[in-house]
Amino acid sequence: MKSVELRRLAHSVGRTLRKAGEPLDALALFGRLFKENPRALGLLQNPAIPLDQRDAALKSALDAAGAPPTSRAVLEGLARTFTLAVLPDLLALLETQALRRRGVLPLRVEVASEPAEAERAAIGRYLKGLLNQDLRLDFAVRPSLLGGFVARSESYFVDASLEGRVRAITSLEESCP
Amino acid sequence: MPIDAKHIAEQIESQLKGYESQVDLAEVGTVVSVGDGIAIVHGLEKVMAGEMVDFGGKIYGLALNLDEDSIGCVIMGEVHTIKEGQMVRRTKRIIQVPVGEALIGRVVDPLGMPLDGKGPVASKEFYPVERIAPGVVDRHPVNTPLQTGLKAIDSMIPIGRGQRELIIGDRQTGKTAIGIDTIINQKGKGVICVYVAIGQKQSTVAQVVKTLEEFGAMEHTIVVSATASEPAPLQYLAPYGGCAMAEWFMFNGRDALCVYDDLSKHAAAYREISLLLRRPPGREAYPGDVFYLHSRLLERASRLDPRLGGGSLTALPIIETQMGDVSAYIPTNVISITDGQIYLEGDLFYSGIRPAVNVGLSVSRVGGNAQIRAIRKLAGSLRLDLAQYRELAAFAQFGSDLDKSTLKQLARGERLVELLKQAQYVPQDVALQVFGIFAGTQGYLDGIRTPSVSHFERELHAYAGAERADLLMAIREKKEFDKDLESKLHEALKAFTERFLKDHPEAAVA
Ligand SMILES: Nc1ncnc2c1ncn2[C@@H]1O[C@H](COP(=O)(O)OP(=O)(O)O)[C@@H](O)[C@H]1O
Ligand SMILES: [Mg+2]
Repeated sequence: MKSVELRRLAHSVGRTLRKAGEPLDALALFGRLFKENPRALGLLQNPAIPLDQRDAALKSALDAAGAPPTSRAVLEGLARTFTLAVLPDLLALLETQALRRRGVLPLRVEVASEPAEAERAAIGRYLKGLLNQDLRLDFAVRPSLLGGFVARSESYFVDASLEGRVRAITSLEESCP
Repeated sequence: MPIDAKHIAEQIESQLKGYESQVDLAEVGTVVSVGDGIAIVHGLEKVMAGEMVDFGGKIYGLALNLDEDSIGCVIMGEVHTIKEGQMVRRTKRIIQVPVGEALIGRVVDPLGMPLDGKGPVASKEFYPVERIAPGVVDRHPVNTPLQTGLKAIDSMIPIGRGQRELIIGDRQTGKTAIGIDTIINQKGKGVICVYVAIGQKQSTVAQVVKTLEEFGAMEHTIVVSATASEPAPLQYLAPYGGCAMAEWFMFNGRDALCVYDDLSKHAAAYREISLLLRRPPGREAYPGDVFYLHSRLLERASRLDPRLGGGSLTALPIIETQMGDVSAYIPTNVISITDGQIYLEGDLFYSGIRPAVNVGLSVSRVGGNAQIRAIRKLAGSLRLDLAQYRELAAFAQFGSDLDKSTLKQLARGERLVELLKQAQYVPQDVALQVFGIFAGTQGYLDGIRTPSVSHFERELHAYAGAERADLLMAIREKKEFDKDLESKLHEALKAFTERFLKDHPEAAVA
């Protein structure tokens, strides 16, 4: 599925779940389940297996998990269109949406080397002051940054890395006659 | 002198202090799909419609479609370098064009880049291509004429500075010609003209520029061109860019005129963009906001209040109809936005009545107040005579016996129609127009054979210029077209007609 379509899907699924007052729990459970048991996912999406058998298998799994009706409908819909595999990506988008609704901005922070706890806290305080918003940070390591960090959300990009400084200085030099 | 190391160190510190804490916080988005010159971008939450976005590498885009979860950007420049997943930055700037005196005489693209090979445009000031139109309190009533130099228009469909008058008609009915003649006629009148060519052939635009140069009109004119071979986004931007260039003159207390040739092609360019952005198409496949496309452009025409410098921007939008259909979507929209329309007809054009103005269907709702008194007074009887003539002429086709007064009216009408014909590139001074129209409506042409009317007019103008300059002056300046002026005109015309018929007996009706 193209990412534009996935985002559209996330929006409509998010809206429907909210309207029904259902939490993301059931979807999250299945997301985890498929991640840990890719074979189960493969079977559910195997076109060689008759549809009614696959339907029945999913149905009993949903019953066992006690999935509420809207979440059921979403999972059944994905299964029938052979797109159950997007569930992890869909969930990530739905979680982001849910956070945003609570006024929390999810940020992916990249640092040059594994950050110590104090460093994480310092970056968190700094970004919170800069963006003036509650944040949820996901850290990742990217050595090419050389030092400092970059932070990225859907609509913001903060560059406090050494790599960025070097780039800025280089482009400054290039624009000099 | 001892070096104060501490002082220098402090200086270094203070200069670099800002640098240390300076991080780059950018508002960004991600390209999620790209194709057909359009990028769909996710993120960029706070972007404004019409804002420039930066794809990096000197490639910019124009944010047009603001959806709930994504925005559509038109890419300006090398499309193929843009990839899915790439970051896009906000610039917080609406696209800008260079403005100012330096643009006069230049041919530029909609972003103000030179197309005439005369080097860069030496301009230091920039205006956004989009701007909210002046509000009611900032506007002043239209009260100064914008002379087109065309008799049929200045007399019966007068245009005032700050007005929006639509020129509408099928292809090849002389729409462009009216725009060009009007521009040529602004020579020496202090009106800066902007001719915006949208979706035309390159050769047609080159011809217009050549004509303007020939008549010395480039000295007060800017040509903005986005030809048919240019991408749709550039065509879409053209009228807004041209308008911004004209606005600079208005906001600096001067008078400007914008000819948009034409808005049908502009709407088509917008439709193309909208289809690529996958907007839901509406009537005639135009997107739902196509009305706003032209209303926000034409609203920017205005006459500013004297406290704001009293400048003006007059708009002459052109719309091309298909087989005279003014009820199509775009024509009806633009008709409803403008202060009147000059309606050109193919039948009139081909029967030799040029400019092919259909007087019955053409109106100017505000220009009357701006008209000089003399011509305003004559316009009423001219319209009436012509209306009666049209009615009688239709009737006379049936060959019934016509009484004397009917024949007389037919003869009068025929001569008036002849009198209103006008070749291209010969704009007439308004006082001379009054002389001619007065002669026509007061019956001085009744004794002249129709084919000799233009000869009569030519000589009349020569006579007026040479011998009755006092009257020409009075026509231009008198607040009222009074009895005194009227009787002087009669006296002059009597003398002239007598002389003309003596010199040219072949011109007399047998
Ligand atoms: N008043 C006029 N007298 C003679 N020819 C004219 C006149 N107005 C226009 N034409 C000619 O008619 C043709 C069509 O005019 P143009 O202005 O290009 O039409 P449009 O813009 O409506 O397609 C051109 O060749 C032009 O020179
Ligand atoms: Mg034309």
